[in-house]
Amino acid sequence: MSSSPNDPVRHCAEQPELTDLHSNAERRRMLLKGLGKGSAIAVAAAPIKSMAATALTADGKLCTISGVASGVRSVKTGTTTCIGRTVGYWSVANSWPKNGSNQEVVKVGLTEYLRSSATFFSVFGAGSTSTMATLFTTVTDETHWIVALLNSNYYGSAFPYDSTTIKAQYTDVNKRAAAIAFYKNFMETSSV
Amino acid sequence: MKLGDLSPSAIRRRLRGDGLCLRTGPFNYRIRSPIDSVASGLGLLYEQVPLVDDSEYIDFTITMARGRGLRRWFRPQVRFEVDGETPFEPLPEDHAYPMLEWAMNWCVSTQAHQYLLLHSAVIERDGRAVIMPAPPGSGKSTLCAALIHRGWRLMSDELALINPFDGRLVALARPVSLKNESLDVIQRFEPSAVLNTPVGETFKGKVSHMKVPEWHLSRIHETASARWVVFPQYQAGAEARLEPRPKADSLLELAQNAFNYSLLGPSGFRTLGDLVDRSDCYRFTYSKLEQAMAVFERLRLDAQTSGGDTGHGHAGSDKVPPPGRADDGNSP
Amino acid sequence: MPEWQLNPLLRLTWRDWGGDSVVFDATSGQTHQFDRLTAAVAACIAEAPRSTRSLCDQFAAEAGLEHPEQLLQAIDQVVDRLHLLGWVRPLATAS
Repeated sequence: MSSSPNDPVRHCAEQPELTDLHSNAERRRMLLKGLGKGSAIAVAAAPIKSMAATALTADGKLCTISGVASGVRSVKTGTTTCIGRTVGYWSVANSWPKNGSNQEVVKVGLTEYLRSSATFFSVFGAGSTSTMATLFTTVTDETHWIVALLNSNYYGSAFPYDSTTIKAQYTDVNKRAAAIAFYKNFMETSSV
Repeated sequence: MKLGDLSPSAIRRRLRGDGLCLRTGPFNYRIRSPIDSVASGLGLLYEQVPLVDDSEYIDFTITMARGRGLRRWFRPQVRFEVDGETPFEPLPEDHAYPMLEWAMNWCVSTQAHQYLLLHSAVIERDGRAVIMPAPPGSGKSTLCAALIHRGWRLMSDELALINPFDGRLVALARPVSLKNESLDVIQRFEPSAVLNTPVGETFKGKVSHMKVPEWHLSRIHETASARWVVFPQYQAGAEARLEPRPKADSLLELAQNAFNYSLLGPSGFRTLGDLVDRSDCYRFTYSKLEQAMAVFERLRLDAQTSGGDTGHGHAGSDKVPPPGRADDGNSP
Repeated sequence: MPEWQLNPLLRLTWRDWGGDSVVFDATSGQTHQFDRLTAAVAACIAEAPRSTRSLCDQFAAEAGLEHPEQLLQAIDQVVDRLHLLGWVRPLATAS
């Protein structure tokens, strides 16, 4: 059986070996059949969701997964357990850092953005026009981006990226998916 | 022989000597510690756990040692040592027992790669298992602690062990970790629940561990097949609501909750893909435990009625019936 | 308009459920979730290098999709994303 190593495998084929073109044609037909039945394009091209293969390294810090299941921190033997607070923690307004006027804020570099009135768009330069306060009522990836900024503000150099870099990761479409997967999967470990 | 067959002084003697060897699920531990709270915690919570003979193979040797130098006496600390290494920073000595439980989890999650390991609770009934992946703040442990007192068997409250060869779940059945408000909630929900003395001001707040009822441990060798994947989310004031979650989405979320998905490569993907194939996947929002119990009872009864275990997804959301005690007994 | 070819280094395993597919690439160790359109584009390019126009024509015919310009835009977007992912690369412009 000749097959390209890149041919998609049929859903019901359990082996990683790839099927021949006849099966690929069946899969393609199955996928196309579900695409749309008439007037409208049934599927707008949804963003690809990806999961990174390994934990990232940043500035010599390797965030280990041991922090996820424990309340302990790894010793500094070249690895650091990176921690961050969860969406649940930051959804409480009172948890946010406050400025001199006692208003809840998040910072990117030296610039402050008010939780109650600044939009995600104003902070990141793109994305939702909802306020940051609103984005904690229904959790989306944008909520996690704000949480990444808050954790960076709170933990300072103990957090792998500073706020300016986090914003740049959002802006860079090549980095965005891997970055948000990292923050969601590894950097929201503490609810207290 | 079980740990409960030893007197408290015998437990302390073994811990201070060559070690106390016990078996939890598929793993044999040797535990050493001079710290009294470790001895008393094990004596209370592992009473029904089998001891392991010295001649048997030991998977993990753990020492919960006292702090070094001044830290033995001044603001005393506890250190976790495994295989000559100290992977964690020391903690205050009164955190020794929770640290032991975290250390035991750490050993499995970093080394037991013969399994696909998920950060997840697993409970079972009628041979069908529910996997509840566990991002922090989800309320997973509280839900798990309640369900195991309403007829569901505890397979694990923290780590799902999936055998990649047959896709079946393997039980660990170790004490359930509870923190902060959950302690009061569970004690009100099930007054007979046995809890260790809480430890305050840990990294996670106030922490305690709940003893696993005996009949769960007597069935610890029974594996189970996953039937449901439920992603719980505690939300204050919310009515219990179960909503189908797309399988593709669920697979990715499960992978993100796995300790060694990347390490296992194609095998990890196949294992999770098969698991999701055969399971109904849901998001579950709840605030009241009695309502949550009713939802899980409904899942169980629906599965019994339909008979098939082919993982057909349900269309639409599921409304919870009027709350009520679904099962008064704790026995299977 | 270029034709697009699948990266020969990819080693893919797919699972398809309803509207979404999940794919594991053993070369990179990455796992991706694709919508149906993206999975269909990948499946077609895997068979042979294709231009987005020819994909659009095929999809319109086989799937009965209308509004070809909107469909072409969607396919262009999909191919851009697959390109960013390193999955596809352009061949020399087809005449």
